[in-house]
Amino acid sequence: MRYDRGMPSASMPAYLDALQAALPPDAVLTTYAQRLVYDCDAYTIDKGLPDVVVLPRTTAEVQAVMRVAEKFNVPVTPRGAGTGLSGGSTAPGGGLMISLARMNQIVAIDVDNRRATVQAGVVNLQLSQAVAPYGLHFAPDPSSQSACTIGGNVAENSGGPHTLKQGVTVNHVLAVEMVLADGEIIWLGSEFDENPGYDLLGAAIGTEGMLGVVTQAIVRLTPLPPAVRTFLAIFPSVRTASEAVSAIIGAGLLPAALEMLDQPMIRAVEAAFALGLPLDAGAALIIELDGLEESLNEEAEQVTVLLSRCGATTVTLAANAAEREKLWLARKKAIGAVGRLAPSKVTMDGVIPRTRLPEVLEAIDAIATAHQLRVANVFHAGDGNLHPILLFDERNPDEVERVRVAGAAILKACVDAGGSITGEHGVGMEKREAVGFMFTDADLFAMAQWRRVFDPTGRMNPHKVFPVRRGCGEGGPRNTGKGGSR
Amino acid sequence: MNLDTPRSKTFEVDGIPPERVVCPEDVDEVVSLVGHASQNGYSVIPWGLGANMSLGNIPKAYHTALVCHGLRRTFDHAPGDLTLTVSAGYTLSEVNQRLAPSLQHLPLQAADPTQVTIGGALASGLSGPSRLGHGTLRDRLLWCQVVTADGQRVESGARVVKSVAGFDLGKLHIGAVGSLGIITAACFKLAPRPQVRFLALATFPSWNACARLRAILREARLTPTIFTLGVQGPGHGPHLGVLYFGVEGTPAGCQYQLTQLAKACANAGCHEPQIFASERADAVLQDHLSLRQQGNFCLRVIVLPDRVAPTIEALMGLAVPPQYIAAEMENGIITVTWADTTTTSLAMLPAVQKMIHDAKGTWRLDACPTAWKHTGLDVWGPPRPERALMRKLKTLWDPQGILAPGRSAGDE
Repeated sequence: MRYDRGMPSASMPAYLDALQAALPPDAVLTTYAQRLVYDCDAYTIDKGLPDVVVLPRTTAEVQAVMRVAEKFNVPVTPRGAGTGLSGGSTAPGGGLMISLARMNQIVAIDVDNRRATVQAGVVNLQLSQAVAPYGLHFAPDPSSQSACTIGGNVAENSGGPHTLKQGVTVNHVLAVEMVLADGEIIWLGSEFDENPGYDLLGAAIGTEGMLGVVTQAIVRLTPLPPAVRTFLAIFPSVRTASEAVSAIIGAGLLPAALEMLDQPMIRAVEAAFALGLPLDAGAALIIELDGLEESLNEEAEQVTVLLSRCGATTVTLAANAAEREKLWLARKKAIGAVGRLAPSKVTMDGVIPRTRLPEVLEAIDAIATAHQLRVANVFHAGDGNLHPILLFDERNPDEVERVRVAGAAILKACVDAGGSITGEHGVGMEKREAVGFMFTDADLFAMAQWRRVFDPTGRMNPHKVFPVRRGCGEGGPRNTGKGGSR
Repeated sequence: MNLDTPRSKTFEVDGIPPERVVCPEDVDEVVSLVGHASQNGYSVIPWGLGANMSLGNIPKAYHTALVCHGLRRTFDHAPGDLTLTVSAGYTLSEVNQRLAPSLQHLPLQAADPTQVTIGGALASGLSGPSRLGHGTLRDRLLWCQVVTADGQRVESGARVVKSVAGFDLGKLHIGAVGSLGIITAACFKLAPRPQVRFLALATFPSWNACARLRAILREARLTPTIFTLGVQGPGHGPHLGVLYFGVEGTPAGCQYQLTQLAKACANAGCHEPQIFASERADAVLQDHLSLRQQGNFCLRVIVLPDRVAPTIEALMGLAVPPQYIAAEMENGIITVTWADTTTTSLAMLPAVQKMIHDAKGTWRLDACPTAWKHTGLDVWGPPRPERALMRKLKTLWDPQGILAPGRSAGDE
């Protein structure tokens, strides 16, 4: 696919001069070697080299940079830590990339009101660690939480294993400061729990950097759970493990996390880390309950009964924090473990009604087989949020193409089952054509109008989310697979 | 489609009757009606059962009352997925009655849930005391279907408990009084019904005692789902106010929390709490909600949680003290009602606004006499920069200004 270049070369010297005047010398990266680091995020199939990368430290510097970009009509791609899995912070048309990595200050912590004000580049885990002494944490915990930034979480409306009970980023952000494409600085939301009028903030979270550059956020801090119980249950099949998930939810229990690994993933984890998981197991299920110590014993008893009733062959309950960490290792190391199986991998992200887990997992397996690809699954079973990992070699163009086709087929299967093309990774570049599986032209037109409230020129993070208009490149959603209407 | 003109007085908004009342029964009829209105430049104000129609500024025009209570084609409950997709015309009470056999519910309270439709709850941004434990509709809305000002059916979100596909436009319709689109259906994340539930009422003799109680309970790391203050006006008994402390879950967990509450009350100098279980607890909470709803003048004050108690104290010191104050202690949402608007004059409002400003808070006027609105009073509170973006959005989505014109924060 061809994209318009971000900058006419004739204007480049003046443009660079303006950027260098706006920022300290070490904050403007222009050489090929410097920029190469930024040619993709953790979704490596689509790449694009930004013309310039800037690393501001303050909102004022972002504003200065945005004014330069506006003057020279340059597209802007914001980037946090680059851990995104859908190509949301890749710059396929070149242009200016703004890395928020140096905006990493926790500005204020208000313990009594359970709020924190942070710059966008603060790392998710860093914030939780900073407020842990007060018995608080920032609840969204993506798998990349040791690296991903709060700004990135806002852009993608990130979730994590504990989404089932705690919700996603939008449930934990009270306000954001944003610099718009023309350099205007705005705040959406406030330090309050609600604000009169339209909920602009709620609809701005998860817009993948397409409205403006988020520079600060006021986030809600959540008390750490007083007590936790973590189980690892082994099942003969994904079907029986899925039935256990439904039984737990159906019994009125709301675990903090319900995470599943299928057999290929169990074998990959065992091969890499030898955690002692049985290689003949069909599925492994991690169940975490949290809450008051006084409640958990009763809930744990119920869970144990349900797991056995649904055919768990073994159930292990962590006796202490160290054992809990060990049980979580299988889940946390899973993505890394499959890295040993193939030179490249793509971690997909689809959601289905959780009651349809077995049939959709079988469909995914069939799709992978039909395209001669290997697949392993690790996913948030409680949310029905699947993460099939397709294994391939990105040096083989034929295999890359098969991954694209199989990926689209998997997303279609999720939508056909009543689900969504993404639960937490975002649409980005990866799934922009699949958006048409879910939304009509009218839906997408309303979304495009929403974007225009903030960015009438469409310079903010172009080439994302909206399907490409046939023959016209980006310009608006007018041609979706859903055929335009319902 | 049922067209009904004689009832137009029933559908007055701020004293203005519509020229026409229409009662569509499905989304296609809404598409047709709004499309027709759009072609002819007719203004449309959506209605549920009218429980919250006092919210909003005076309409600039009002041709058609679009009554959505008849939108009842969809009730798609997926118990294994904890989701409900429901047409906008169902009431909260119908929804929760139908969910009850599955031991699930949509955790939202209203003074009279038989009179609040799903569409109305969303359009008015309704929230209740259990927002501490269960969040608000904003936290539970997964998917939303609306008919836009040009008569298009538009959907956003997905009917599963988690999705980030596309932009989450459903959020914009919450509290927008139908000014951005007519809500026709929605999908919610449900909550399992707890094994047991209790409501404890603790009275406190002073604001200091109330503050001590809050501090002790926080220190104890309890997990109440309701932490609400109810304060009646002067002359209503010996106590300053009542703390409503709701817990739910397992019997042992609830028992532990109630024991801790009793200890905290003793240590803070409050009276021993009264405890109500199950349906009795629901009824006691319902009484509180009814008191909250009684006023003709209802102000929603929003402050930081640590400013709640001083703000209530200041409100009670006004020349005409409120009849009732309901405060969500941990969310900073204070609903203040005055019953008698003849003695509570408009002239008092500047003092109230200054007091809120001093508390670094903001406000929204949920109900007041129409005559007050005619003075130019903006029910959406003090000006703030976001309003410019709201107006821009309203203009882009409704360029003719036919949806609830003049009523929302997005109107000039």
